[in-house]
Amino acid sequence: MALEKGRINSTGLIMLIFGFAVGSSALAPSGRIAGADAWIAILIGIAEALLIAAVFLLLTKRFPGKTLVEISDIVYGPYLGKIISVIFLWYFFHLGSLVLGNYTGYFSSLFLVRTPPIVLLASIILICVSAAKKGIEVITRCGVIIVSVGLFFYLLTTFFLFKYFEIKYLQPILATPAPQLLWAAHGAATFPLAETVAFLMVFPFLNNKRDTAPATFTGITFTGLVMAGLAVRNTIVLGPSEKAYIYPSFHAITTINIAEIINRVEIVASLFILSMGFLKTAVLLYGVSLGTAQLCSLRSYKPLVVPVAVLMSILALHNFPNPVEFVRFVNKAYPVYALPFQLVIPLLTLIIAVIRKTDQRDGNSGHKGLRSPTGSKRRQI
Amino acid sequence: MTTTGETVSQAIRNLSTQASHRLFLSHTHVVVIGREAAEKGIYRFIDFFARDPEPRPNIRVLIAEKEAKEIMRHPSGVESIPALGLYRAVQTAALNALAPDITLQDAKIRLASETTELVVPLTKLYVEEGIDGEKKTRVDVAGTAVFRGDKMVGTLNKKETRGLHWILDKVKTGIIVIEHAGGKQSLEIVKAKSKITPEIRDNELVVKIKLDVNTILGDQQCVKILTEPDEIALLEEKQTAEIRTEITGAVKKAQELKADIFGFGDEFHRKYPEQWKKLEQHWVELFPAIKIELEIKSDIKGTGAIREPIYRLR
Repeated sequence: MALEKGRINSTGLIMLIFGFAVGSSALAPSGRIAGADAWIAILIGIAEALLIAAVFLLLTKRFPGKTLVEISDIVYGPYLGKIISVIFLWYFFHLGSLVLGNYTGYFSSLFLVRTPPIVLLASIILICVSAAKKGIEVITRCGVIIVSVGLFFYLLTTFFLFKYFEIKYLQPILATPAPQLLWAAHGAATFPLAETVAFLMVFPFLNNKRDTAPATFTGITFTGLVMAGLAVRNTIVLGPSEKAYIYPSFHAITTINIAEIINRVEIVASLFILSMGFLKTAVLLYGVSLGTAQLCSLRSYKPLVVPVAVLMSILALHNFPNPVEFVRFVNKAYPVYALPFQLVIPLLTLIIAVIRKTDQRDGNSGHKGLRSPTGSKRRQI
Repeated sequence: MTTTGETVSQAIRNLSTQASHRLFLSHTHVVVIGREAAEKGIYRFIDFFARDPEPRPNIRVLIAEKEAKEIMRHPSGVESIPALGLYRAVQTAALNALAPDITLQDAKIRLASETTELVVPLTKLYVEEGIDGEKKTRVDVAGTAVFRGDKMVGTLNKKETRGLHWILDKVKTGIIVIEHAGGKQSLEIVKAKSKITPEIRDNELVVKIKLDVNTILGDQQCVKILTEPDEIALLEEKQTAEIRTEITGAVKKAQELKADIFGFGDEFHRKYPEQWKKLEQHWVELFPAIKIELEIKSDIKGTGAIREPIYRLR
């Protein structure tokens, strides 16, 4: 029996990738160590992220309809494959806890200062649990709605900020030393663009497998462009004071004050950012639960969702003593930490798969005419 | 209610002994700091308002000529709540370029800049005799407090304040009064646009300011027809001279105070990123030596609803 029966289309995937990637980076935008050149760093980061994505897309193209866990099993064999899968699942799990922690920190330091963080965290994770249990199709449909409305609101707030724009804050362009700029670009590529590696758990459920690569590339490029737009907006509104803030987007949006009537919009804006964070956490929670279920050959992943969510929440509460520590981790350690998961291991898997000539594409696999092996199993039963 | 404390946070929390409610700081409208305190440094007061998530970035910051507490005791303008009155008074004064409109956000940006110095509107009390003959103390917002770093070092008067606004391209409207044809004539500014271009000329720093001003005749005290082309040309000339005086006055004052309130340093940084590394180290000495080149184009674009004085000498 298949663990997941839902199917998603390519538009859904693009939207989901967008929500996933913008999710936590809207709070702590990437590339900030490049200062006013952050947007350039992000643009370079898009290129790097597309290269990284090409690797895992080639991998999923070789094994259509297989999740990461299944691919590892095929390529590395049952024992080593399980170890590789566990390493990946740890990454998704840790990433989920980072996102949760980031949001909890955001809301408890800016809005609900007197609410215990655990209450905020629980209210976020409960919805994620519900979504993850409903399956990838439901998450994607949520994504389409959230991202469309969120994008509209993003444009609206940018429009409202128009009168505060001081383009001169962007100058001098490219004043950042090259190593720092490239490090910032690498930072933007690993957080959040190449985190789409988690979609290796989602790609198998795309109804048309040929759309996987175009949809992912579109999603990553689009996200990168929106993020670069966000970086430009924050810089030209906040100027030199931008670097002092933990959450610059919040401070940029707080500035909005049109005739003392349209003001204090940051709460609504934050809710949209939060709903993107929900998408990210839900996808990761789903990925970890599904992966673990496949790892242990369970018949359903659903019983695993709640325990995984609880563990994720506990980790989220203890990851960092304060949000500043999180920013430091994102700037200094994460670009290195994430690389094995995003690039090294997928590349290794791909190379080994090529050498061992394991290929499950149509025509090469035993199941001729059947698009997905998951589907084929269903027929056998 | 008044309160004291060793830090801003503590002072606000100390208020809990008098206030029956917890303070809701999002409704803060103005932060008024006394001159004496400002001369010792204002960052210690600003930090709390930047750090705490409740205060809004559009809070107006002001410097009181004497004690800040006195300012808050008297109503300003037509508002009955002193804070609201001040909040609006700053904006109205800034509209006429008589005081800079500095929000908390602006103050943060200027404090974060490496060379651009902070300016803050000044406020003071004045005694006015009402129509009922009673003497009333009221609040007035005019002029500019100039800072170096976070310490107040001097002030600009109303004319110099407009000079600052000309350079910053912040003049929206205002009245220029000139002596002409045996009386005082006022010209109302309807449009002003300025552009700053920094230049390095054989080890000399020059800032070119290009200004384009449109005015209309506001009122005239003489009975001559001022709308004749020759007269208009004369008026424009005098108007240009007046604007020039205001700008050079402001620059001279700022250079005396060694405070780059115009953001010239940032302009040089933008245009000459390579040379800037050297300039930055000596900016305090370089700024007072900057030469200003003015290119003012001022036109009189209208004469109001009448084209010639209604009354003529008989």
